Amino acid sequence: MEPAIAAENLTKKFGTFVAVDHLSFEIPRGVVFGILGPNGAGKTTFLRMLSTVLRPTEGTARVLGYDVIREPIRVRERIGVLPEDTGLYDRLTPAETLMFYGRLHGIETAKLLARSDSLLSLLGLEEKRDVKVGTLSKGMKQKVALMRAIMHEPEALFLDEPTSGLDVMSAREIRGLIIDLAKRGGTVLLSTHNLWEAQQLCNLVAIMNKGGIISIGTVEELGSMTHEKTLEDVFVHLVRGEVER
Amino acid sequence: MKRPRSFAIWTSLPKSQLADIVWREFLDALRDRRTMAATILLPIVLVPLSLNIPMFLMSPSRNPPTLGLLQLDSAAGDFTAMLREINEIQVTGISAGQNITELVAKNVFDLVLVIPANFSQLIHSGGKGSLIVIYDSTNTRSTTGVSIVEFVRSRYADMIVEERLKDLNVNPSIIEPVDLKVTSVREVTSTQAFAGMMVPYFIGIVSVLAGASFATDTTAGEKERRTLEAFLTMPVTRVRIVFGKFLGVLALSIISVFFDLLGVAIGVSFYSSLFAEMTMTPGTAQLSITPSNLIVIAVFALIVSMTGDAILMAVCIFAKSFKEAQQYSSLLTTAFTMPMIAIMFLPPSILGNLIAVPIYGPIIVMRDAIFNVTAPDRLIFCLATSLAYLAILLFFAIRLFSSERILFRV
Repeated sequence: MEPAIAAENLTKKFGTFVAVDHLSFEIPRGVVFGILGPNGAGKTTFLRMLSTVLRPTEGTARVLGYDVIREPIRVRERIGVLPEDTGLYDRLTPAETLMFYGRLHGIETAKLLARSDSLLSLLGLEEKRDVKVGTLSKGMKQKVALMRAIMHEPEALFLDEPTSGLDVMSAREIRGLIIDLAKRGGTVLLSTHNLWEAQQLCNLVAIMNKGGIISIGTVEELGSMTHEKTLEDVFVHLVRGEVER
Repeated sequence: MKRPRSFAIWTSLPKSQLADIVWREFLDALRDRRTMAATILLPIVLVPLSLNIPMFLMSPSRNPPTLGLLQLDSAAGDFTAMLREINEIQVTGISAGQNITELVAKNVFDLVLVIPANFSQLIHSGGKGSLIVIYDSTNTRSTTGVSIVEFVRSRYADMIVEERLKDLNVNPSIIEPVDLKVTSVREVTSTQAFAGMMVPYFIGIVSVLAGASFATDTTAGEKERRTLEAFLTMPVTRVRIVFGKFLGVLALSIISVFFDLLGVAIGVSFYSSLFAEMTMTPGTAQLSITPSNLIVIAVFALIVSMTGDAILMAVCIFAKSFKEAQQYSSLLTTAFTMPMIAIMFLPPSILGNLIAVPIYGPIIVMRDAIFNVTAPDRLIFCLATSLAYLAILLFFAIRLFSSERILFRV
């Protein structure tokens, strides 16, 4: 089976600054793949290239079998993206938000309404369905953004800091949704600073620094490689080693 | 489940990403109270007021100048009677001994007219009588009052001359040996002349100004609010996004222009007599435009909006931030609207040379249509060049929107 994501020499430069430096790797389908790294490691740029928002400077990547440069629309039809900022329109309601993005994905109206109602109910936002997004709390906005990302039942989900700044209950609900999606065979790419969360959710993790991947594997594999017990210790070990080198 | 009306409209839209983008832009603008106040409320309140207040103030029949009359010659009744017949000036007699300069300076009267004691005697003895007017050159009503007094003086002088010539048994035509007959090659009412001068430029200025705020919001505003990234992950081409946003801005600009014109219509209908007075032809405030020329005006007004919006969209896409976009758009709107005021006064021979200039060409065609003198070759040339400019501008906007260096520059 073709991997969910296959990158080959994937590179992004902004002028002379190399944000992502010749990444080559594969992510199998049906896993939760964590991308960890300090600020400025290139995680967000990497996700933006895979979601076809940014065009690679060199190399390419295939997402669910489609080339991010040559077939961006095919890629976008199959992925769901939760960017670092929720990117919601403040003057639309949650129901309208789902209607807008659902229609852009070409979902039939009847199915869209049913799906929208079930998601709003699942995430406890039925009462806020017709309230403007701008008036919602940060956690509620994050839930709406997540609903937007999964509205069209994508095969792969790219999440950039999905629980950042959320209260315990909201973060827990969102983690529950990620687990659910993975159980149903979806692939999740999760960029996070929350190492505990990554340890709980991810089947595979990649640790990025200065635009490159310094290590990739399961949490256990990385632990035995670095002789560290927790992912946080593994992370510190690897990033510090990279800095010292 | 009961769903809001806006939601019901959405579900009834045709299945088209373009329609969805336009409706989203529309909803966003409709729900912004400040935008709606500026687009709907201000034009229908402010435009009639701004149109009528100056006209009201300038109209001597609505707001007559006050004249203090110091009549030192009791025999000058024929002149004062003529003056008092004029409704456009309010005459009040004043007594001698008052400081007449101070009366004007302190705005007790707009002007003071002094009829000297020997005025009638000089006239009736075949000499020349003098009238003295004290006025304030910084006061519009005062200068209007002077014009009215001058009008009455002229009529009175004509009457005296006629009497003197009659006494001498001389034909009055001896003092006016040459007559002037004026014929225009085009018959337009004075209202039409006024509308031809004002309406196309008004549409041009309003179209460009209205589009500016919407174009800024949908491009730089979307960048700044960070809603663009999520939008770009949708299966929509950049071409379609730019077209959708352009159509949204255009629809909102058209609404804005509509309300501005409605404001003008309300303003004119409210005080149509004032309007007629201002155009110097009381009772002829009529505008007769043929249906085909009305269509020409509508089509070219749309073209002006489209071109203005496309220019603004391209510039605002280029801007790094909302503030930068606002600066660019205010610079552009000033650059476009200032020459519009200047070309209102250009002769037709020069206007003909501007027909290929974007925005100005369609304005000139609209002017022709209001005068019912539309020339088909000029119209077709203007339409072709305008559509070509529009295509180039939209292509340019799409190129800018497709450049991540421009889209993500901060």
